[in-house]
Amino acid sequence: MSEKFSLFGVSNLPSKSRKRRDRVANLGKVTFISISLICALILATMVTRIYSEAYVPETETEVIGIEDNKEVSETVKSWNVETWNDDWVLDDPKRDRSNVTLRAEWTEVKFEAYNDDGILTDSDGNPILFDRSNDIQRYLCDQGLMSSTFAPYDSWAPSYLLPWNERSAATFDPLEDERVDIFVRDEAPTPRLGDFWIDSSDDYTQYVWKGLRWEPVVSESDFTAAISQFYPFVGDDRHSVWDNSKLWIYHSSVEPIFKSNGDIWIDSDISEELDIVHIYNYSLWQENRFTTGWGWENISRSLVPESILDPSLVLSNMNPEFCTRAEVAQFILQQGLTGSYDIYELSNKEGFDFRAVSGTSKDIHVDLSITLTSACSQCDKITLELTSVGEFLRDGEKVESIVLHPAQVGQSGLGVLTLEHRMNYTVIFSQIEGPPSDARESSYKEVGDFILGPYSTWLNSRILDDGDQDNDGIRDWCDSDIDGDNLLNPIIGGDSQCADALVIGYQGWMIDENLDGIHDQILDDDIDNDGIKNLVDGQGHNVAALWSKFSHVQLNNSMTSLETLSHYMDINLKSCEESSSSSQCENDEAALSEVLEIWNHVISAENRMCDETYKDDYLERADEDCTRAKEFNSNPPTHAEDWCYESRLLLQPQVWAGFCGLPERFESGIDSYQDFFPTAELFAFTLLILSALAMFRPGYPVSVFRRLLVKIDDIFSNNEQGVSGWSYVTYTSELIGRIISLLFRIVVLLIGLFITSSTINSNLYLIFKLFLLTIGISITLLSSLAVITSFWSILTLRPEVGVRPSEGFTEGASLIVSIASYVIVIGWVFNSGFIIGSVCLLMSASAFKRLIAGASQLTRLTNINEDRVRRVVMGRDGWILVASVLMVVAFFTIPFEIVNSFIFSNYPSQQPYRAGLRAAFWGSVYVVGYTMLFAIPVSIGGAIWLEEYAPKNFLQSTIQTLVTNLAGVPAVVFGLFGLALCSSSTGFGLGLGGTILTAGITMATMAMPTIVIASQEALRAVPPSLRQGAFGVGCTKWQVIKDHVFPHAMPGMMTGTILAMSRIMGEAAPLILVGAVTSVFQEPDPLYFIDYTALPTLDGFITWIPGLEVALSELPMWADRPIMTADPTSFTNWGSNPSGKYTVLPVQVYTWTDQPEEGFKVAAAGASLVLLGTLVMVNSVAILIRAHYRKFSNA
Amino acid sequence: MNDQNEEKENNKKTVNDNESSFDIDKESIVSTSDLVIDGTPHIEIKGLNLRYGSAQAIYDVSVPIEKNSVTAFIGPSGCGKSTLLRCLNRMNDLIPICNYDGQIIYDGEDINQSSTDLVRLRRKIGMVFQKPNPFPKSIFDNVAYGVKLHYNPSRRKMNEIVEKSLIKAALWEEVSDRLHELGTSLSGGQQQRLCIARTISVEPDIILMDEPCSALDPIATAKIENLILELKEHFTVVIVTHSMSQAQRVSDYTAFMFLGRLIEFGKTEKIFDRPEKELTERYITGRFG
Repeated sequence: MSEKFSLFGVSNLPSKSRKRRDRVANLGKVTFISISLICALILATMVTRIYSEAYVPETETEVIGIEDNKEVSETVKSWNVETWNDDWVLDDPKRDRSNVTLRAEWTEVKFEAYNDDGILTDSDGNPILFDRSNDIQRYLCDQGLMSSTFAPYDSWAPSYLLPWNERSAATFDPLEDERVDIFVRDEAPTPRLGDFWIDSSDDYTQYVWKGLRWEPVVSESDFTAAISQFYPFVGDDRHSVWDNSKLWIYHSSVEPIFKSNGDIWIDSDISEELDIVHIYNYSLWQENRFTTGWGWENISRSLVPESILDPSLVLSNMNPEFCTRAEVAQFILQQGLTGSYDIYELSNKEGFDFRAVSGTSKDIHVDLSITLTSACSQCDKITLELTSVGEFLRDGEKVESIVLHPAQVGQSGLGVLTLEHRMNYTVIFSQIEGPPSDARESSYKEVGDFILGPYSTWLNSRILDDGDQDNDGIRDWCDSDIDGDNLLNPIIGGDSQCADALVIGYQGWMIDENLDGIHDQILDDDIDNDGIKNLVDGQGHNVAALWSKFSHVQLNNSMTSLETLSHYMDINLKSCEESSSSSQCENDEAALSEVLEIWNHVISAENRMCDETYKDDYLERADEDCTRAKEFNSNPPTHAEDWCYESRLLLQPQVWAGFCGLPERFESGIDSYQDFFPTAELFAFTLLILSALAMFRPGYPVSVFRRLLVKIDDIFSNNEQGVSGWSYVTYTSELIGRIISLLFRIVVLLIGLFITSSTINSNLYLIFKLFLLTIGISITLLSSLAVITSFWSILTLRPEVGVRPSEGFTEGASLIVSIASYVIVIGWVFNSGFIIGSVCLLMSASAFKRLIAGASQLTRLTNINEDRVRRVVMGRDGWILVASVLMVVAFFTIPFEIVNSFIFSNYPSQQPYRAGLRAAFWGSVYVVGYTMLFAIPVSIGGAIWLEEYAPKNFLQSTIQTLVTNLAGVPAVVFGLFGLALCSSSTGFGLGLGGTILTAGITMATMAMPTIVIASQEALRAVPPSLRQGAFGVGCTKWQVIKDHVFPHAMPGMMTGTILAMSRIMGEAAPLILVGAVTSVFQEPDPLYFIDYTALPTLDGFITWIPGLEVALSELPMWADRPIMTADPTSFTNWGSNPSGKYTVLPVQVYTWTDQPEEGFKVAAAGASLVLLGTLVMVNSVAILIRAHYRKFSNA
Repeated sequence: MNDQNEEKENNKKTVNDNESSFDIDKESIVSTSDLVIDGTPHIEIKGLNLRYGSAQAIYDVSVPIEKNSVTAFIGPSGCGKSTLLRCLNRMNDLIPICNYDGQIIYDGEDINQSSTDLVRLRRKIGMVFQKPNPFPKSIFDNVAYGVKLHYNPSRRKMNEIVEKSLIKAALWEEVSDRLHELGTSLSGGQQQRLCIARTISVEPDIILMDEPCSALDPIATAKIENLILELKEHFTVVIVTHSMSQAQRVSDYTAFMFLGRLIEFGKTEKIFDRPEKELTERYITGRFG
């Protein structure tokens, strides 16, 4: 080409050479082939790596069990655990996985009972030792030595409970329930009232159950002999046939349907004078041989003991006693009875106290101390005390030394050693030194139970889902002694912990008046602490009831409580002197002592509330309370209800709950809000709606003011032609508006800086950290720009410069409205449940969109002009910045607790409310991730090859047909394919096993046809004029595809991808074939095939460069640096799954749906929701890409 | 719409007339003595035959095209003029069933060779299509795309090239304030001028225009026609048109084609004032039978 006139100077430019261009074109042609090759290479690498041993821990740890056979008083029992806590990244887990060493030493504790006469001994004179105080109580109770027992009060008549009693017979099914069980056992069975027990181990003594204990039946008739003849027996060995039988005795007019050998049917239609009862006989022993047959035999009525013929005769004389109130309550509940039952306390016998002893016998008190010995100085040092009786058992055998896998400690489930142990433990943690960080919380663990993990896990496992383990009437939620060993629990057990728990759970106008750690309105089913559930009880004690105990005195409502009290005291003394009835007097004295106790509380209320320490604790309300208490004492309310109400306000929960009882609404739990018109709530809600409206249209409420202002402005500016001019109003409002906006922006800037700086130093997950950092930095950048422009706008504001009327006012007012609304919303988020929080979240999400829009405006560097910056910074920052802050708040505070425990914390469990999705969620994410990794490049590359490059010959049409048909193949077939090709190690199988990788490859083969077909359609839909134009300007084929065809077809391709991903996300069948199991208790490890130990560390890299290490060691911060490694286990949980097992969400849903418990239905529904949510998240990436490229296809 | 209907009717008449009164092979130009131009040809078609599969579309056509002039191809629909135009930058290669022989001499070389660098050829011989087809990119990128494809200009140089191209295409004043809006958001006439700007931005020697005004209204057509006359100073323009008056207004030379054959070629005034062939005369007078 000769040089010639150049119109634009283009020809003078250096032209790209043909060689280079061709090279680029060829590069493009082979790119997709390369991608496929790379995928294949990765696969090949994985296959080779898979054969090397997968993840073997460097050290194995050892648990040395309890040493035995020594004088225990001289023996310090001990065991060591070396383990590795992945929540506690204080050291490099690569180099030393056993960074936590636990050493335990303990003494065992026994309890003995004593009173003034000395220690309780057995018949040989040896002291009796007990494991737990509950056991002592039980023993004393059984022996009749308890200082007090409990019984239902007054109207209690146990015989009413008998099924055939007339009073309640109508409610029982005659065929099912009119019967008495007769147990022939060598051990006492679990009884119901009236049950009959023939002790086969002790010469066939007969007992009847009287509620508390078995009482021997003295019977003249030889009942045992009478019924034993209806049993076949061999020789004289009667014992064998009597063992473990259970007979039923029916009282009915119809023949019982369910019957077995030896059952007795007392036909109520047959007169007693006939002296006949029926006994069911199957194998008849007659004339020294067996005769088989069945039918009712008649025996004489006199052979049957009276207690069986009419148990109510026996039971009506019985006075059942129970060891605790809770037992009474439980018994009443078991009978299915509701209504009012008083429980009274019986005092009898000599009282025993009990105390802990140690070192006096072979099983003895042990102090367990666990010390964390770790290389680094920052490690926590934890001292633990462990009280223990018992031993370690595995499969029923005592274990002295156990080899544990470190990752298995704290887990239970497949492939994991489960330790059973009979130790009653109490572990008290105290942190001596170390950072008050997450590490401490996550390191709480109960060594005795092998629960390792964060605090919330412990809480979940121990507290949340059990009712009342030790049967002491206190819900375990805040039972300070959960195992009934008279020692405080670890961790929980203080009021402070309970308070935390309540903050997490519920907040209302009344939290916990009876101080049992249970929220009164929602959780507490024993609100007056009397050990009886509210619905059953309804009684407690109450003042009015107390007054009524003074049987011979009339209650006078006109007197104050104080007057009543003194009045009654006088009357009582007089009447007792005069009265002949001494028992009446005793009752009155007892009642009087209770009233006095109440009075003491009243007095103490004033002392307490006016005390200085009270002021320290409750500074805000101390004065008010003191005044109230004084007034309460000087002028007590007359009526008992008023008195109780006032005392509740005075925060004397013990008095209130113990003696007043609670208002009826708490006992029923139904209409708890009835008395309170929700004025405040309604007001706040209206405000919320208004502010939400204001959030979306901030200018709207302001416009009214604006019009007003314009009118004022017109008056002041004396402007006759209506041309807008300057006035003081305008100028001032403008100035104020700008100053407010400046201040606000400075605040936002500070918030942004705060978020950024605090995020950098935090210990969050990497993904959260990145998210927060992005938000923080963008807020900081945007708001710093905003501050600058705002400042500049104030500087440049001059009175003489004509500003449009009320412009500044509008902007300032908009900002104020925005701020106010956001403040309200944020406050609401903090104070209310997550439903409103989610609404806020949605709203803030739309606001967050604006942040992105504004940020993207700034990122467009070309042709940026002042106008755009102004629009971004001035017009939107007030919205965007606050919205993003709100979003962060809403995002992290509200759903976090729920999401965290259900999705991220809990593994599957047999208990529905402990079950979680941790394994399944990550399993699904990883499977979809692998699928996208494999399927998308290969499919889209294949589609481009098929459409653009492949010659239209037999090969192409064959492939086309195959792909089209593959899209219709059932999913299970793909599962079989995955099983054969990837999972299996025989034949062509790659032998990957049932791992995430296998699942990913299988799902990718399933997703590919869909994506290929959709992509081909999209490519065909590209208009030919676009190609022509591109070729016309001299594009090569690859450039045409890359620059024009591909972007244009991208939305269609993404649609196909979304469809395919949605399909594989919800697919369970093929994954079950390739190894998704139903119960996984570890997070799946997507890089299971990689030997983490072979990965390099930063230290290794540093030593590789000569001199670098020396130079770095002189830096002051170098010593404190975190150890950096390429090992993903240092920032994920991947290494904790040595088995490579995984599960996915649909499989988990399927499993849970199969469970009979109702709770699992809920869990399955929740899991489905999570499945959908995850789907949306995964697809939103594709949707974003589609949205980005949409403009090409709309063109 | 009316134009198109008339065209269709004309076409039918032609075929009828053809059967009755004309021998098309005799009417077509065979001798090179008829293909006379003033200067040396910038690009010259010699004996081009083209088939779509087995159907022949162009029969032995030879046309010389003078430099810095406007050459118009006219003829009824389906006569092969667009196909002939596409041969000049070998856009027909995109149609798999299309095959051709003959020579097209450009720059002293036959471009109908397999060794021809098509990218360079299409840079030198740009093309504007019947329907405006700007890329779904910004106006700036539309113009800059071709330049980026072939050169590595600096940013400043690129801005300059884009601006000059748009000025040359008489579009700058209308779009200078919205260079970063989508090219497809422009009106039809503007889009076509954008396509012209895109084409001239890489400084081609020859611009091929395939009925550039057929989709445009009269005002836009007038703008494009003025543009063509301006472009003539720097480029050689080959235009296919159905509009007799447009050919008269803008072209220096006119080639009349019929049923794949070149019937007559010469100066535009001569073709329109004193056509030698009766077929030509009947076509340009709109009678055709």
